[in-house]
Amino acid sequence: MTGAAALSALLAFAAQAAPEILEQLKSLIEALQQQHPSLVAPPPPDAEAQIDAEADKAIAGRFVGDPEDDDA
Amino acid sequence: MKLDARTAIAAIAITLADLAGCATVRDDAVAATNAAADLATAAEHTLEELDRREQADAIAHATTEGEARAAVAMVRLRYARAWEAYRRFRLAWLAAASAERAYDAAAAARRAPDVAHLLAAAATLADAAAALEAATAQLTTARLGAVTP
Repeated sequence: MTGAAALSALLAFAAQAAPEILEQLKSLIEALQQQHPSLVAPPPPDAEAQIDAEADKAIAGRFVGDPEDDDA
Repeated sequence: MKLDARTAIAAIAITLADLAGCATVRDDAVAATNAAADLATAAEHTLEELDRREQADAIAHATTEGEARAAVAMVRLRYARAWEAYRRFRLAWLAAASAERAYDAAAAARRAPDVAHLLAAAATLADAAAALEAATAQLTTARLGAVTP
């Protein structure tokens, strides 16, 4: 019997034999599930393209109209 | 469904054992994924800082535009592997987070969670973390030992 099947059996039994505790059981299970830690935010996207674009801009800014570099 | 007390007790015992075991795996996976997110964010900042600084140095020391472009291209080439490792790592983080959300959804719907998928995603994340750490460490070491051009 798997955990899920056992859980279904347990809830079915409670509904049949002790309906007054069925809701308590469900609340207990939900409370247990909510005790788990949650995920933090994902890591940021990489900045490689932005850095490359900045370098291209810096080169263009520094050497614009440079007569020594006409052949480059 | 009709159950006697003995079967019900067995069901309770199995359920609790199963929930406890899966919950541990799930919580460990979330903790590992969160730690991995911290590692990736730190690696991204390190790579960003080193890459930007090296490209700026390359441009500052060049005397012509062609020289600057060649030097920057060399820097890009050296950092490409680390950035690729970072991208793989981030994808592995997203996959692990997705597996964890699927686990939670299954548990909330009273379905059997896919523990194997969760473990596989965590293993992939660990491999990606090792590759990222190696690539970043290599660049940091090279930077520390580098001679100014």
